Amino acid sequence: MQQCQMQIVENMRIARDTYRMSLRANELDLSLFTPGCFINIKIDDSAYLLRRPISLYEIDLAAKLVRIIYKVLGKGTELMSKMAAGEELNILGPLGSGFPIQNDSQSVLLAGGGVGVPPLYELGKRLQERGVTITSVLGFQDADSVYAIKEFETLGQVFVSTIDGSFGQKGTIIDILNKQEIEFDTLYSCGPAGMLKALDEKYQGKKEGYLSFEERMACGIGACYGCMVNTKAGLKRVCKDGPVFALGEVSYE
Amino acid sequence: MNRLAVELPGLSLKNPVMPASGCFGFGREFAELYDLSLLGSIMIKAVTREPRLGNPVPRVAETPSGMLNAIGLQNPGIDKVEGELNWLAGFHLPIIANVAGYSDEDYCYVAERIAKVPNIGALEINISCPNVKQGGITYGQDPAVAKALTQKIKAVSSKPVYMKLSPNVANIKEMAKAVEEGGADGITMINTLIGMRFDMKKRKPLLANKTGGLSGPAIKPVALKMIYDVYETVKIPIIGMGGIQTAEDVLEFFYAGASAVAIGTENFVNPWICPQIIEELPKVLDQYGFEKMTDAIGVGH
Repeated sequence: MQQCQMQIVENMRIARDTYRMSLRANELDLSLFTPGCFINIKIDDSAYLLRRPISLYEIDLAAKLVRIIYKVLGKGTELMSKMAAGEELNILGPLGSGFPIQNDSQSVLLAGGGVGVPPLYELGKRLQERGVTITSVLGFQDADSVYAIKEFETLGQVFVSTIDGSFGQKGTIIDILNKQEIEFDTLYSCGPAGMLKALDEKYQGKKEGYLSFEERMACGIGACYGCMVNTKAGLKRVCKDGPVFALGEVSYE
Repeated sequence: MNRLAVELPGLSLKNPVMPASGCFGFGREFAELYDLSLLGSIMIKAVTREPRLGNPVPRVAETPSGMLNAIGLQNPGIDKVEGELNWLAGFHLPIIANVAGYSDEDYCYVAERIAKVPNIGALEINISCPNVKQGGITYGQDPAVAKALTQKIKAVSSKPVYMKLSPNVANIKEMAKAVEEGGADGITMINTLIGMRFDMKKRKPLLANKTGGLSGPAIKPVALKMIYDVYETVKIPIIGMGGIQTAEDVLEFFYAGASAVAIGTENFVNPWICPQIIEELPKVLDQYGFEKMTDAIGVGH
């Protein structure tokens, strides 16, 4: 884990309340960053005390850039959305365990929902380099909140759902997976808690799979015990022991 | 001469800076980042007799220049914590054990046992946790109850006893006086202020526990005022805490009457804050014209 200033190269709106930011990472050893890990961002305003944990959409080793896609959920992320290229953010990272990449996996399903979609893209790019067949199933609220479809289409076949049916199929990604026969060995997912639970119940014991969870955090480094998740092996910290947990590991009681 | 050294009951500290209880776990996460032997001491996460799972999530929420937490004293219990203390012994620091409980018997059981661990320098008795239903803060709001508990713990502890005071009281001086009369060797203050936030869309409290403890720079002026008052009321030393972010903040706490300080929430924002402050302190002493830390204790009075 390192702490450094990162310069904003690009910060643009790509969907409703959703922004893509590129950050120059000259001081960071990006080889330590794996898909599914996250960075903790400090907004340079003393009123916003805590860092914002945000997953990585792309890790560009050659250009020394990381890209994040974040949603404006409160005043802190609203301030971030107004920052311009050239401004700097203080970053702590990489944090958390990434997605394990199975060596014998021939085909994977990337299942993303809302703000959970971004980390699956960097993962997909790395799997693609390994020659893995990729199918993506991405869920959003409505047409205005859809993003990154073209990028995922470079990885393989993409199915999209929206809750109101204004883009792709109406419903959730679970509705798509119930209807559509998709061949895969390994599932990778990130998204809202309800979606992860539904996927876990559907595939645990049947498939290899990894789910990335989200919880309100204070520190992001395992010190505050704020972001606990109940697992079959007891309470674990989403930030340090996760955010990625295997299918069947989390207890939803 | 070590300009930063301070001497407190049970605690011969090479510098007056330590992480506050609950903000540093048992040090393992931070040991990956820097050498813990740089610290003055470590206040370890609260220990109870039995393991505690803590509260449901969400447990944390940001507030203006601060945060709320309602962790609920999650800890693995005294049996496991003794193992963590063995590991911490490698850093050669006098450790401060934060002891929590739900009855006099619980407090005394943990206090007596943990005081026997060789690298424990002193105990910090948590009579001020706002996030558990029984014990905790009920002990911290009634001077007679706090005094009686202090006496019982003093009777069983082989190490000096510091009582951690809650700011959630009508009269902090009465509480300080009570624990001093009960035989406390020192006071640590302040614990968090009880607060709330609401989820605007759900129309419900944001924290699962409904209320939480407010910490961070938002509470710094409250901490300074209460330390100022307690310094004038008791003779036992004070370890001050509440929103410290800089070496200058440390000196300000000394002005109010602290003899050492703990850094809490800032560890969550900048994990290297404790060693950074320790490095800065000599410059701040120079800047304000002090030869050594101890010269600054209570100068604001």
